[in-house]
Amino acid sequence: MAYQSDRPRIVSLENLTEAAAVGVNLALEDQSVYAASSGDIGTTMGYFPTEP
Amino acid sequence: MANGRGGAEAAPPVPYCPSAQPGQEGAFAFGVVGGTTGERRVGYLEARVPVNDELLALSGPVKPTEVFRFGAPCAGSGCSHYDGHDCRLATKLVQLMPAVTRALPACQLRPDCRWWKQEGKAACMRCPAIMTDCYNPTEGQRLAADPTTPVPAPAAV
Repeated sequence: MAYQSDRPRIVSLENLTEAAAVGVNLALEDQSVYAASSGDIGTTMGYFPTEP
Repeated sequence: MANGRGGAEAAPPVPYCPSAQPGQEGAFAFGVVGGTTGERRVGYLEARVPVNDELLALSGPVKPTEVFRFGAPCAGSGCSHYDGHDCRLATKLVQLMPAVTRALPACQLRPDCRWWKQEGKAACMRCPAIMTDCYNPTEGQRLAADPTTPVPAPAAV
């Protein structure tokens, strides 16, 4: 089991733009690799509206 | 079992979902996805950031939920994961995903978080590995995210 050795990272609001850019690049990487190869639209791990 | 902060006077009437959508009323960002290609980890913002156009623009061409983690009041019966008492997603994440940290994240949402109130530290130890929307889920994440996946029976001790 891979634990982080230290406490999860804290992001200051001053660095929010830079931190978000990292997240965007990671997401784009995932989209290019996984969405294109599998045709999968991804997974939502969170609020999942009930059927109307 | 309630593991959250005591003091009912400080708690909001509705617990907050820690994997909400930015369009939900009362939503704010509390985390941002970072880490590496092989190991995505949420970084926790030092303060809650209200959802506005400026924040959403930071996600550029991808969905904000691929970049940020948002908190918002739990939708209750409006969410497929809610069984009338508990969030089954939280239960499944704890049972199907490995812990990724021993230290509790410095999370601005925790005092109001449904997952924390319901599952305690076990949820927080998995939270950094959760992206609300992602294209590369682990098998455990994929199963947990599917509202039709039954909650596994607790492992025998």
